[in-house]
Amino acid sequence: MRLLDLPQAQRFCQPASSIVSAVGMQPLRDFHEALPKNVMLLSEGTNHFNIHQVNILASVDQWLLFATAHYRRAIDMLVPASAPWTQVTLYYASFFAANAILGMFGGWVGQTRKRKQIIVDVEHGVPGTQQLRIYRKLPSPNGANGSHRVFWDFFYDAAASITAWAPTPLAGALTPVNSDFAWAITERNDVNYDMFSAWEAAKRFHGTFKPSKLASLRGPLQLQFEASERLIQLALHFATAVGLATNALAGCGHTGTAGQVRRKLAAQRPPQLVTQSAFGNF
Amino acid sequence: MTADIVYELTQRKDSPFYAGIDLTGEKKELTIKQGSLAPEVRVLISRNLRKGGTADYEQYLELLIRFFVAVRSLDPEGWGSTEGATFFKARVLRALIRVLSDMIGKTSFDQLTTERMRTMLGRIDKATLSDEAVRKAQGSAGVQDLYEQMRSQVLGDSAA
Repeated sequence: MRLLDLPQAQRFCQPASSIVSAVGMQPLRDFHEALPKNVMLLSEGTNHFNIHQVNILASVDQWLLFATAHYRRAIDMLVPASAPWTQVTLYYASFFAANAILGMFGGWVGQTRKRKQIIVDVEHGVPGTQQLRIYRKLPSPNGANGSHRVFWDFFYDAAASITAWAPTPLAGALTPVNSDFAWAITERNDVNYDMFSAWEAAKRFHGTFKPSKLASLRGPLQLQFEASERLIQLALHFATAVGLATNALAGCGHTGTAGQVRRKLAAQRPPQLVTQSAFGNF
Repeated sequence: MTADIVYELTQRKDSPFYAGIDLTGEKKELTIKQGSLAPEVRVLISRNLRKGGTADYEQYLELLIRFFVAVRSLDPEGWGSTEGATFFKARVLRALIRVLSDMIGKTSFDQLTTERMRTMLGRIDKATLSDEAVRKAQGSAGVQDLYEQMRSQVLGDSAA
Protein backbone atom coordinates (compact mmCIF):
# COMPACT_ATOMS: atom_id res chain seq x y z
CA MET A 1 0.00 0.00 0.00
CA ARG A 2 1.53 3.27 -1.11
CA LEU A 3 0.93 6.61 0.59
CA LEU A 4 1.60 10.24 -0.23
CA ASP A 5 4.60 11.95 1.27
CA LEU A 6 3.99 14.95 3.50
CA PRO A 7 4.12 17.72 0.86
CA GLN A 8 1.82 15.67 -1.35
CA ALA A 9 -0.53 15.07 1.61
CA GLN A 10 -0.66 18.82 2.20
CA ARG A 11 -2.10 19.19 -1.27
CA PHE A 12 -4.53 16.30 -0.77
CA CYS A 13 -5.76 17.63 2.57
CA GLN A 14 -6.44 21.15 1.34
CA PRO A 15 -8.99 20.90 -1.47
CA ALA A 16 -10.24 24.18 -2.93
CA SER A 17 -13.34 25.55 -1.21
CA SER A 18 -15.18 25.37 -4.54
CA ILE A 19 -14.62 21.61 -4.56
CA VAL A 20 -15.69 21.18 -0.95
CA SER A 21 -18.87 23.16 -1.43
CA ALA A 22 -19.78 21.26 -4.59
CA VAL A 23 -19.49 17.82 -2.99
CA GLY A 24 -22.30 16.32 -0.94
CA MET A 25 -21.38 14.45 2.21
CA GLN A 26 -22.09 10.72 2.12
CA PRO A 27 -20.76 7.50 3.59
CA LEU A 28 -17.56 6.53 1.80
CA ARG A 29 -18.66 2.92 1.70
CA ASP A 30 -21.82 3.86 -0.20
CA PHE A 31 -19.89 5.96 -2.67
CA HIS A 32 -17.48 3.12 -3.37
CA GLU A 33 -20.23 0.53 -3.55
CA ALA A 34 -21.98 2.61 -6.20
CA LEU A 35 -18.87 3.18 -8.29
CA PRO A 36 -18.82 1.21 -11.54
CA LYS A 37 -16.48 -1.73 -11.17
CA ASN A 38 -14.42 -0.57 -14.12
CA VAL A 39 -13.40 2.56 -12.20
CA MET A 40 -10.02 1.64 -10.77
CA LEU A 41 -8.38 5.06 -10.63
CA LEU A 42 -9.53 8.30 -9.04
CA SER A 43 -7.76 11.19 -10.78
CA GLU A 44 -7.36 14.66 -9.34
CA GLY A 45 -9.77 17.09 -10.96
CA THR A 46 -12.48 14.51 -11.61
CA ASN A 47 -15.80 14.26 -9.81
CA HIS A 48 -15.04 10.81 -8.41
CA PHE A 49 -11.74 11.99 -6.95
CA ASN A 50 -13.40 15.06 -5.42
CA ILE A 51 -16.14 13.02 -3.75
CA HIS A 52 -13.68 10.54 -2.29
CA GLN A 53 -11.29 13.29 -1.19
CA VAL A 54 -13.84 15.54 0.53
CA ASN A 55 -15.59 12.66 2.26
CA ILE A 56 -12.46 10.93 3.49
CA LEU A 57 -11.10 14.21 4.84
CA ALA A 58 -14.36 14.68 6.74
CA SER A 59 -13.92 11.15 8.07
CA VAL A 60 -10.38 12.01 9.12
CA ASP A 61 -11.60 14.86 11.31
CA GLN A 62 -14.29 12.58 12.73
CA TRP A 63 -11.79 9.78 13.37
CA LEU A 64 -9.60 12.30 15.17
CA LEU A 65 -12.55 13.36 17.32
CA PHE A 66 -13.55 9.82 18.23
CA ALA A 67 -9.95 8.79 18.87
CA THR A 68 -9.50 11.71 21.25
CA ALA A 69 -12.89 11.25 22.91
CA HIS A 70 -12.36 7.51 23.44
CA TYR A 71 -8.97 8.18 24.99
CA ARG A 72 -10.54 10.78 27.27
CA ARG A 73 -13.38 8.48 28.25
CA ALA A 74 -11.01 5.60 28.96
CA ILE A 75 -9.45 7.68 31.70
CA ASP A 76 -12.87 7.81 33.38
CA MET A 77 -13.09 4.02 33.43
CA LEU A 78 -10.06 3.18 35.55
CA VAL A 79 -11.67 0.77 38.01
CA PRO A 80 -11.13 -3.00 38.10
CA ALA A 81 -14.52 -4.02 36.70
CA SER A 82 -14.03 -1.72 33.72
CA ALA A 83 -10.38 -2.50 33.06
CA PRO A 84 -11.12 -4.84 30.13
CA TRP A 85 -13.46 -2.34 28.51
CA THR A 86 -10.95 0.45 29.12
CA GLN A 87 -8.57 -1.54 26.97
CA VAL A 88 -11.22 -2.04 24.28
CA THR A 89 -11.96 1.69 24.33
CA LEU A 90 -8.27 2.52 24.03
CA TYR A 91 -7.97 -0.01 21.22
CA TYR A 92 -10.63 1.86 19.27
CA ALA A 93 -8.95 5.17 20.04
CA SER A 94 -5.82 3.85 18.33
CA PHE A 95 -7.83 2.27 15.50
CA PHE A 96 -9.49 5.60 14.73
CA ALA A 97 -6.20 7.49 14.96
CA ALA A 98 -4.59 5.01 12.56
CA ASN A 99 -7.49 5.40 10.14
CA ALA A 100 -7.06 9.18 10.33
CA ILE A 101 -3.36 8.91 9.53
CA LEU A 102 -3.96 6.67 6.53
CA GLY A 103 -6.70 8.99 5.28
CA MET A 104 -4.52 12.09 5.44
CA PHE A 105 -1.86 10.35 3.37
CA GLY A 106 -4.27 9.06 0.72
CA GLY A 107 -4.97 5.56 2.03
CA TRP A 108 -8.18 3.85 3.01
CA VAL A 109 -8.94 0.33 4.20
CA GLY A 110 -12.69 0.00 4.02
CA GLN A 111 -15.61 -2.29 3.42
CA THR A 112 -18.92 -1.97 1.62
CA ARG A 113 -22.14 -2.65 3.50
CA LYS A 114 -21.97 -6.12 2.00
CA ARG A 115 -18.61 -6.48 3.75
CA LYS A 116 -16.66 -6.48 0.53
CA GLN A 117 -13.14 -5.16 0.89
CA ILE A 118 -12.09 -1.84 -0.63
CA ILE A 119 -8.50 -0.67 -0.45
CA VAL A 120 -7.47 2.74 -1.72
CA ASP A 121 -3.83 3.71 -2.08
CA VAL A 122 -1.70 6.13 -4.03
CA GLU A 123 -0.96 5.57 -7.68
CA HIS A 124 0.53 8.98 -8.33
CA GLY A 125 1.30 11.60 -5.70
CA VAL A 126 2.51 14.66 -7.52
CA PRO A 127 0.23 17.64 -6.77
CA GLY A 128 -2.00 18.52 -9.69
CA THR A 129 -1.99 15.00 -11.08
CA GLN A 130 -2.67 12.94 -7.98
CA GLN A 131 -4.26 9.58 -8.56
CA LEU A 132 -5.63 7.04 -6.13
CA ARG A 133 -6.01 3.38 -7.04
CA ILE A 134 -8.97 1.30 -5.90
CA TYR A 135 -8.48 -2.37 -5.12
CA ARG A 136 -11.56 -4.49 -4.60
CA LYS A 137 -9.61 -7.58 -3.69
CA LEU A 138 -6.11 -7.28 -2.32
CA PRO A 139 -4.40 -9.63 0.13
CA SER A 140 -2.79 -7.83 3.05
CA PRO A 141 1.04 -7.96 3.16
CA ASN A 142 1.07 -10.85 5.62
CA GLY A 143 -2.11 -12.49 4.37
CA ALA A 144 -4.14 -11.55 7.46
CA ASN A 145 -7.75 -12.63 8.02
CA GLY A 146 -10.46 -10.60 9.73
CA SER A 147 -11.19 -6.96 8.99
CA HIS A 148 -9.18 -5.48 11.87
CA ARG A 149 -6.18 -7.72 11.36
CA VAL A 150 -6.22 -6.84 7.70
CA PHE A 151 -6.42 -3.16 8.60
CA TRP A 152 -3.42 -3.26 10.93
CA ASP A 153 -1.42 -5.33 8.48
CA PHE A 154 -1.94 -2.72 5.76
CA PHE A 155 -1.48 0.16 8.18
CA TYR A 156 1.90 -0.81 9.57
CA ASP A 157 3.19 -1.86 6.18
CA ALA A 158 2.18 1.47 4.62
CA ALA A 159 3.17 3.58 7.62
CA ALA A 160 6.83 2.75 7.10
CA SER A 161 6.89 5.11 4.14
CA ILE A 162 5.80 8.10 6.24
CA THR A 163 7.84 7.36 9.36
CA ALA A 164 10.51 9.87 8.36
CA TRP A 165 7.90 12.65 8.46
CA ALA A 166 7.01 11.88 12.07
CA PRO A 167 8.72 13.72 14.91
CA THR A 168 11.35 11.37 16.34
CA PRO A 169 9.64 10.95 19.74
CA LEU A 170 6.42 9.84 18.03
CA ALA A 171 7.87 7.77 15.20
CA GLY A 172 7.52 4.62 17.31
CA ALA A 173 3.75 4.95 16.99
CA LEU A 174 4.12 3.66 13.45
CA THR A 175 5.55 0.32 14.50
CA PRO A 176 3.44 -2.26 16.32
CA VAL A 177 3.86 -3.39 19.90
CA ASN A 178 6.19 -6.42 20.03
CA SER A 179 6.73 -6.00 16.27
CA ASP A 180 3.45 -7.87 15.82
CA PHE A 181 1.01 -6.05 13.54
CA ALA A 182 -1.88 -7.95 15.16
CA TRP A 183 -0.84 -7.36 18.79
CA ALA A 184 -3.55 -4.81 19.62
CA ILE A 185 -6.45 -6.71 18.05
CA THR A 186 -5.32 -9.98 19.61
CA GLU A 187 -5.18 -8.41 23.06
CA ARG A 188 -8.50 -6.64 22.50
CA ASN A 189 -10.17 -9.90 21.56
CA ASP A 190 -8.68 -11.62 24.59
CA VAL A 191 -10.17 -9.22 27.13
CA ASN A 192 -13.38 -8.74 25.18
CA TYR A 193 -14.37 -12.29 24.33
CA ASP A 194 -12.57 -14.51 26.83
CA MET A 195 -13.79 -14.12 30.41
CA PHE A 196 -10.72 -15.77 31.91
CA SER A 197 -8.53 -13.09 30.27
CA ALA A 198 -11.00 -10.34 31.17
CA TRP A 199 -10.98 -11.36 34.82
CA GLU A 200 -7.20 -11.65 34.84
CA ALA A 201 -7.06 -8.07 33.52
CA ALA A 202 -9.44 -6.88 36.27
CA LYS A 203 -7.35 -8.63 38.96
CA ARG A 204 -4.08 -7.26 37.58
CA PHE A 205 -5.56 -3.80 37.59
CA HIS A 206 -6.76 -4.19 41.18
CA GLY A 207 -3.37 -5.43 42.30
CA THR A 208 -1.18 -2.85 40.62
CA PHE A 209 -3.03 0.36 39.79
CA LYS A 210 -2.65 3.31 42.12
CA PRO A 211 -5.51 5.77 41.56
CA SER A 212 -3.17 8.71 42.14
CA LYS A 213 -0.71 7.59 39.46
CA LEU A 214 -1.75 6.98 35.86
CA ALA A 215 1.68 5.54 35.12
CA SER A 216 0.99 2.64 37.48
CA LEU A 217 -1.04 0.86 34.79
CA ARG A 218 0.48 -2.51 34.01
CA GLY A 219 0.28 -5.29 31.44
CA PRO A 220 -1.47 -5.10 28.07
CA LEU A 221 -3.66 -2.25 29.30
CA GLN A 222 -0.58 -0.11 29.92
CA LEU A 223 0.90 -1.00 26.52
CA GLN A 224 -2.39 -0.23 24.77
CA PHE A 225 -2.67 3.04 26.69
CA GLU A 226 0.80 4.14 25.59
CA ALA A 227 0.28 2.95 22.01
CA SER A 228 -3.03 4.81 21.74
CA GLU A 229 -1.61 7.96 23.27
CA ARG A 230 1.32 8.08 20.85
CA LEU A 231 -0.81 7.28 17.83
CA ILE A 232 -3.31 10.03 18.69
CA GLN A 233 -0.51 12.53 19.29
CA LEU A 234 1.00 11.61 15.93
CA ALA A 235 -2.33 11.81 14.11
CA LEU A 236 -2.94 15.26 15.57
CA HIS A 237 0.59 16.33 14.66
CA PHE A 238 0.07 15.20 11.08
CA ALA A 239 -3.34 16.91 10.93
CA THR A 240 -1.62 20.19 11.73
CA ALA A 241 1.31 19.49 9.42
CA VAL A 242 -0.92 18.79 6.41
CA GLY A 243 -3.20 21.74 7.15
CA LEU A 244 -6.36 19.66 7.55
CA ALA A 245 -9.36 21.98 7.77
CA THR A 246 -12.87 20.62 7.37
CA ASN A 247 -16.25 21.53 8.83
CA ALA A 248 -17.03 17.89 9.47
CA LEU A 249 -17.60 18.40 13.19
CA ALA A 250 -20.47 20.85 12.79
CA GLY A 251 -23.81 19.84 14.26
CA CYS A 252 -22.96 18.91 17.85
CA GLY A 253 -23.43 22.31 19.40
CA HIS A 254 -19.95 23.78 19.15
CA THR A 255 -18.40 26.18 16.69
CA GLY A 256 -14.85 27.04 15.73
CA THR A 257 -12.11 25.17 13.96
CA ALA A 258 -12.30 21.37 13.89
CA GLY A 259 -9.52 21.33 16.50
CA GLN A 260 -11.44 23.63 18.82
CA VAL A 261 -14.67 21.67 18.39
CA ARG A 262 -12.81 18.41 18.92
CA ARG A 263 -11.35 19.59 22.20
CA LYS A 264 -14.73 20.84 23.45
CA LEU A 265 -16.56 17.66 22.48
CA ALA A 266 -13.91 15.31 23.84
CA ALA A 267 -13.69 17.16 27.15
CA GLN A 268 -17.45 17.36 27.65
CA ARG A 269 -18.53 15.88 30.97
CA PRO A 270 -21.30 13.28 30.78
CA PRO A 271 -24.50 13.85 32.78
CA GLN A 272 -24.78 11.97 36.09
CA LEU A 273 -27.96 10.00 35.46
CA VAL A 274 -27.32 6.74 37.24
CA THR A 275 -30.13 7.43 39.74
CA GLN A 276 -32.54 7.66 36.81
CA SER A 277 -31.43 4.27 35.52
CA ALA A 278 -32.27 0.76 36.67
CA PHE A 279 -28.76 0.26 38.01
CA GLY A 280 -29.90 0.40 41.65
CA ASN A 281 -31.97 -2.76 41.10
CA PHE A 282 -29.10 -4.83 39.68
CA MET B 1 29.33 0.57 10.79
CA THR B 2 29.20 2.11 7.31
CA ALA B 3 28.53 -1.13 5.48
CA ASP B 4 25.81 -1.98 7.99
CA ILE B 5 24.16 1.40 7.48
CA VAL B 6 24.16 1.10 3.70
CA TYR B 7 22.84 -2.44 4.03
CA GLU B 8 20.05 -1.26 6.35
CA LEU B 9 19.16 1.50 3.88
CA THR B 10 18.24 -1.24 1.44
CA GLN B 11 16.43 -3.37 3.99
CA ARG B 12 14.22 -0.99 5.91
CA LYS B 13 10.80 -0.29 4.46
CA ASP B 14 10.94 3.31 5.64
CA SER B 15 14.09 3.93 3.59
CA PRO B 16 13.84 5.55 0.14
CA PHE B 17 16.53 3.06 -0.93
CA TYR B 18 14.47 0.03 0.12
CA ALA B 19 15.67 -2.71 -2.26
CA GLY B 20 17.19 0.07 -4.34
CA ILE B 21 20.97 -0.13 -3.86
CA ASP B 22 23.17 -2.65 -5.60
CA LEU B 23 25.12 -4.19 -2.72
CA THR B 24 27.03 -6.76 -4.73
CA GLY B 25 27.78 -5.08 -8.04
CA GLU B 26 25.76 -7.72 -9.84
CA LYS B 27 22.40 -5.97 -10.16
CA LYS B 28 22.86 -3.97 -13.30
CA GLU B 29 19.30 -2.60 -13.16
CA LEU B 30 20.12 -0.72 -9.94
CA THR B 31 22.03 2.44 -10.81
CA ILE B 32 23.05 3.31 -7.26
CA LYS B 33 25.89 1.11 -6.06
CA GLN B 34 26.97 0.43 -2.50
CA GLY B 35 30.47 1.44 -3.55
CA SER B 36 29.33 4.97 -4.42
CA LEU B 37 27.52 5.77 -1.20
CA ALA B 38 29.48 3.86 1.45
CA PRO B 39 32.69 5.96 1.27
CA GLU B 40 30.72 9.17 1.66
CA VAL B 41 28.80 7.78 4.62
CA ARG B 42 32.10 6.69 6.16
CA VAL B 43 33.54 10.18 5.79
CA LEU B 44 30.39 11.74 7.24
CA ILE B 45 30.57 9.54 10.33
CA SER B 46 34.31 9.92 10.91
CA ARG B 47 34.12 13.67 10.40
CA ASN B 48 31.29 13.94 12.90
CA LEU B 49 33.15 11.76 15.40
CA ARG B 50 36.26 13.95 15.08
CA LYS B 51 34.12 16.93 15.98
CA GLY B 52 32.97 15.20 19.17
CA GLY B 53 29.73 13.78 17.79
CA THR B 54 28.17 11.11 20.01
CA ALA B 55 25.45 9.80 17.72
CA ASP B 56 25.05 6.03 17.59
CA TYR B 57 24.41 3.69 14.68
CA GLU B 58 20.64 4.00 14.86
CA GLN B 59 20.77 7.81 14.91
CA TYR B 60 23.00 7.94 11.82
CA LEU B 61 20.72 5.51 10.03
CA GLU B 62 17.56 7.41 10.90
CA LEU B 63 19.16 10.73 9.95
CA LEU B 64 20.11 9.35 6.55
CA ILE B 65 16.60 7.98 6.03
CA ARG B 66 15.06 11.35 6.94
CA PHE B 67 17.55 13.12 4.70
CA PHE B 68 16.87 10.98 1.66
CA VAL B 69 13.10 11.08 2.24
CA ALA B 70 13.45 14.87 2.10
CA VAL B 71 15.53 14.62 -1.08
CA ARG B 72 13.03 12.23 -2.69
CA SER B 73 10.12 14.54 -1.87
CA LEU B 74 11.74 17.27 -3.98
CA ASP B 75 11.63 15.08 -7.08
CA PRO B 76 9.32 12.14 -6.36
CA GLU B 77 8.82 11.28 -10.02
CA GLY B 78 12.54 11.11 -10.65
CA TRP B 79 13.39 9.02 -7.60
CA GLY B 80 14.43 5.54 -8.66
CA SER B 81 14.41 6.53 -12.30
CA THR B 82 17.38 6.24 -14.60
CA GLU B 83 16.23 9.09 -16.83
CA GLY B 84 15.31 12.66 -16.02
CA ALA B 85 15.98 12.36 -12.31
CA THR B 86 17.29 15.44 -10.54
CA PHE B 87 18.82 13.87 -7.45
CA PHE B 88 18.77 10.13 -8.10
CA LYS B 89 22.26 10.03 -9.62
CA ALA B 90 25.28 8.57 -7.89
CA ARG B 91 27.39 11.74 -8.16
CA VAL B 92 24.60 13.97 -6.90
CA LEU B 93 23.82 11.64 -4.00
CA ARG B 94 27.51 11.53 -3.06
CA ALA B 95 27.68 15.31 -3.12
CA LEU B 96 24.46 15.55 -1.10
CA ILE B 97 25.91 13.34 1.65
CA ARG B 98 28.78 15.82 1.92
CA VAL B 99 26.23 18.62 2.26
CA LEU B 100 24.52 16.60 5.00
CA SER B 101 27.86 16.30 6.75
CA ASP B 102 28.04 20.09 6.85
CA MET B 103 24.44 20.33 8.00
CA ILE B 104 25.13 18.16 11.06
CA GLY B 105 28.11 20.35 11.80
CA LYS B 106 25.72 23.26 12.27
CA THR B 107 22.55 21.65 13.58
CA SER B 108 21.88 18.83 16.01
CA PHE B 109 20.50 15.53 14.76
CA ASP B 110 17.21 16.05 16.58
CA GLN B 111 16.62 19.37 14.90
CA LEU B 112 17.26 17.97 11.45
CA THR B 113 13.70 16.84 10.84
CA THR B 114 12.61 15.72 7.41
CA GLU B 115 10.58 18.90 6.93
CA ARG B 116 13.45 21.15 7.94
CA MET B 117 15.93 19.39 5.68
CA ARG B 118 13.42 19.54 2.85
CA THR B 119 13.15 23.29 3.28
CA MET B 120 16.93 23.62 3.24
CA LEU B 121 17.39 21.32 0.26
CA GLY B 122 14.60 23.11 -1.56
CA ARG B 123 17.07 25.96 -2.09
CA ILE B 124 19.02 23.84 -4.54
CA ASP B 125 18.66 25.09 -8.09
CA LYS B 126 17.59 21.96 -9.93
CA ALA B 127 18.85 23.40 -13.20
CA THR B 128 22.40 23.00 -11.91
CA LEU B 129 21.78 19.25 -11.61
CA SER B 130 20.67 18.64 -15.17
CA ASP B 131 21.91 15.47 -16.85
CA GLU B 132 24.34 17.53 -18.89
CA ALA B 133 25.73 19.42 -15.89
CA VAL B 134 26.18 16.21 -13.93
CA ARG B 135 27.81 14.46 -16.89
CA LYS B 136 30.42 17.18 -16.91
CA ALA B 137 31.11 16.63 -13.23
CA GLN B 138 33.48 13.71 -13.78
CA GLY B 139 35.35 11.93 -10.99
CA SER B 140 36.07 13.12 -7.47
CA ALA B 141 36.69 16.67 -8.60
CA GLY B 142 33.28 16.70 -10.26
CA VAL B 143 31.56 15.49 -7.10
CA GLN B 144 33.45 18.14 -5.15
CA ASP B 145 32.19 20.80 -7.56
CA LEU B 146 28.61 19.61 -7.19
CA TYR B 147 29.03 19.56 -3.42
CA GLU B 148 30.40 23.09 -3.24
CA GLN B 149 27.67 24.36 -5.47
CA MET B 150 24.88 22.75 -3.46
CA ARG B 151 26.47 23.62 -0.16
CA SER B 152 26.47 27.30 -1.00
CA GLN B 153 22.82 27.09 -2.05
CA VAL B 154 21.70 25.09 0.99
CA LEU B 155 23.83 26.64 3.72
CA GLY B 156 24.57 29.99 2.16
CA ASP B 157 28.32 29.78 2.62
CA SER B 158 31.29 28.18 0.94
CA ALA B 159 33.08 24.96 1.84
CA ALA B 160 35.78 25.01 4.51
